[in-house]
Amino acid sequence: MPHRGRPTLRKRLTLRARLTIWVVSIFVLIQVVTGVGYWLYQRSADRGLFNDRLVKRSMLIASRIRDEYDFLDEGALDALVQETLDPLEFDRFRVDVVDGKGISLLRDETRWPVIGRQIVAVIDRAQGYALRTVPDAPAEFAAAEDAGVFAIGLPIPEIPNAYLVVLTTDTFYARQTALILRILLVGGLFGTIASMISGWIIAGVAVEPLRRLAGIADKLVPNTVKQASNRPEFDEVQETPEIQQLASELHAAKVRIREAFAAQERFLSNISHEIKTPIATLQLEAQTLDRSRLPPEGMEFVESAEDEMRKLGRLVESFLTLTRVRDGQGEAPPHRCGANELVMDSLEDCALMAEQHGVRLDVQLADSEEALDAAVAGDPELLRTMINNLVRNAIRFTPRNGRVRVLAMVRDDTFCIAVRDEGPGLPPELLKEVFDRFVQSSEETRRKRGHGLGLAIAQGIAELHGGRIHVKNLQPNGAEFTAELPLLTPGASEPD
Amino acid sequence: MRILVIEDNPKMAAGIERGLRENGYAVDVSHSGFEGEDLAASGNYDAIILDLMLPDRDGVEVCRNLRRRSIAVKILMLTALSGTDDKVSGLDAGADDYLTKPFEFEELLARLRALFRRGEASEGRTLRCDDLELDLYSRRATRGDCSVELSNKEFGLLEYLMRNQDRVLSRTQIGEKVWDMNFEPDSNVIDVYISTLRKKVDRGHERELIHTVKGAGYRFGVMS
Repeated sequence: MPHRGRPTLRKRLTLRARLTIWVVSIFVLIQVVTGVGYWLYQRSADRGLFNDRLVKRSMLIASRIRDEYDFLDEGALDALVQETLDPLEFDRFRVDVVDGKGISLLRDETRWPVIGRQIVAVIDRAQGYALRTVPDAPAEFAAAEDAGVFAIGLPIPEIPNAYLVVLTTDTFYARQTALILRILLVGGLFGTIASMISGWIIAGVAVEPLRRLAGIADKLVPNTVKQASNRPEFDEVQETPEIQQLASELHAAKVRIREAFAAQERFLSNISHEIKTPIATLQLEAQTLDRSRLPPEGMEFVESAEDEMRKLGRLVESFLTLTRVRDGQGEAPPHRCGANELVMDSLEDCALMAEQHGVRLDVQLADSEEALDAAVAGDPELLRTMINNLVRNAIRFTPRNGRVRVLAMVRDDTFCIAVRDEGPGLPPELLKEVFDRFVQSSEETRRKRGHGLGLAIAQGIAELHGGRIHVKNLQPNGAEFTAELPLLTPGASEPD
Repeated sequence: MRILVIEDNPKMAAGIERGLRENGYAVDVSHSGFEGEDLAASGNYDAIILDLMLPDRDGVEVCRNLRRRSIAVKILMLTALSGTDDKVSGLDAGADDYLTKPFEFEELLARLRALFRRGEASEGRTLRCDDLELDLYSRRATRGDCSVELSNKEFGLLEYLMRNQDRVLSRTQIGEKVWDMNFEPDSNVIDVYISTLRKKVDRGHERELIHTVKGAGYRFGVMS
């Protein structure tokens, strides 16, 4: 039997939920990949863009100063800058004109010269203009991630070595990134919710045919083989082609299963006859042999042969019963079996054995008013075998001149048959597994009695009929096996 | 006592024949269904041991034919099949008992003894008492216009009571004759069966037929 562990989460979720999770995770994955990709692209592209723009704008200012202005003062420069620089691109900027030493020519600035000097130093080595990041930008620029400075020589005749200096920060990239992040976040949130909803719907659509198919399979494939003959016909299935195909395959499978069961039943019936008849013949011949004419060793041989034959016969019978119990679903529809009647029929079967063992059978039937009509639904042959096995077991363990008590009673909706023996009782380790196949007490094995199937068969039959057999030891000695079978409730529709 | 064995397996038939002879029965053997039926119809036998699987015909059919021809002989069926339906159809066809192969020969003898103890089958087809009628062939009981559904043993018990009308029957007698068993003195089997029978036969009818005789047993018949 395969080990049954705790079901994993995967198995506990419905197919629909699993499909939805898949759809949502694929959507989220796509989103993350797109977002990260875009962010990386922005990062690399923006650096170049910013430098480009800075150079372009600065050159434009410089050329306009050259072309349009004879005289430049602070106000004029500011106006020019306002016109030329787009605050969307550069949200903080400062533009000035410095001399070769970096001293502002138009403004009165304290910190500017330092930067100015640095710039000029850079320009000297460069050709005409320079561009660089400022190592210690003024406080208002320091926070910006991309502060840049651009300087270009101005051809002003009165002042040699005049330079136009543009210092700016670029927050365009940062703003852009923030925007994209916001779009990705909000979009992602809504997108995820949307993908959940649509995923659930799509999964529902995808799973729906399966569910319908399950319903059809339920209708088509019978729970028991007997049901197969009177299930609703297949024609009523009006479905999409895929489902119809599956359904017809299910139908075919069902037909094959039914045939297999029928074949098995035929086989069992044949084997019963083919095996049991020769055994019966041999047993009969051994039993009726005229032993007076046999030498002593011949007698011994015949007796042992008879004994073995009897065992073989019982074993074959047990195996056949076991097979019938195991495939119990294929059995005939249940008969109504009178409860007390069952007990008495079984006891009659055991009477001979009890007599041979010198054991008395003491019977108490269920005698309450309602017990007289009490009945159970099932296979009378099997139920009789069940009681037989319990009683024979009890007889085997009861010493000569002892007594086996059989008590039948009706308790609520249950018919109980208790069989008490006067044997040694069961060793505690056997109490649990006494109903397993081929389990015998060591005493029993030593004396080569029984074949260890009787109680397993009895329990199998009880379970087949919705009942159970319990066992307990009695004080001071003996064991009690109690079979409980559900009663056929009066008034309920009776089986045939 | 003369017994006819209808069994196609020659070894099986020979085994049964030998065993029965040793136990003092006169035995004839037939290996086919048709021959067997003809022999049985001659009315020379006290009991027939009939195998269900015969080469030329079904044992159930032989049984049904014999009953249809009103041959009142005790029939014990023998078969290797042990399904309930086989058994039911055998008993329904009019067999008196049923034994599954392989069996203990002792068991066969015990069943035969029980069959013979149940009374002479040749007494007639029906037993009657007041408005209660028992058909021994179809094994059906009717009281007035109502049919009474009886189990095998209930029928046997009622048959025994009706054959011994107006006699006081002790529990021991009933146990031995109907069940072939000696019940413990405190066993309630017979009382339970009598109660069940009373419920089915007497309840709702004006005249009771089953009477308890305190300290002795039971008596069957119309109270005078």
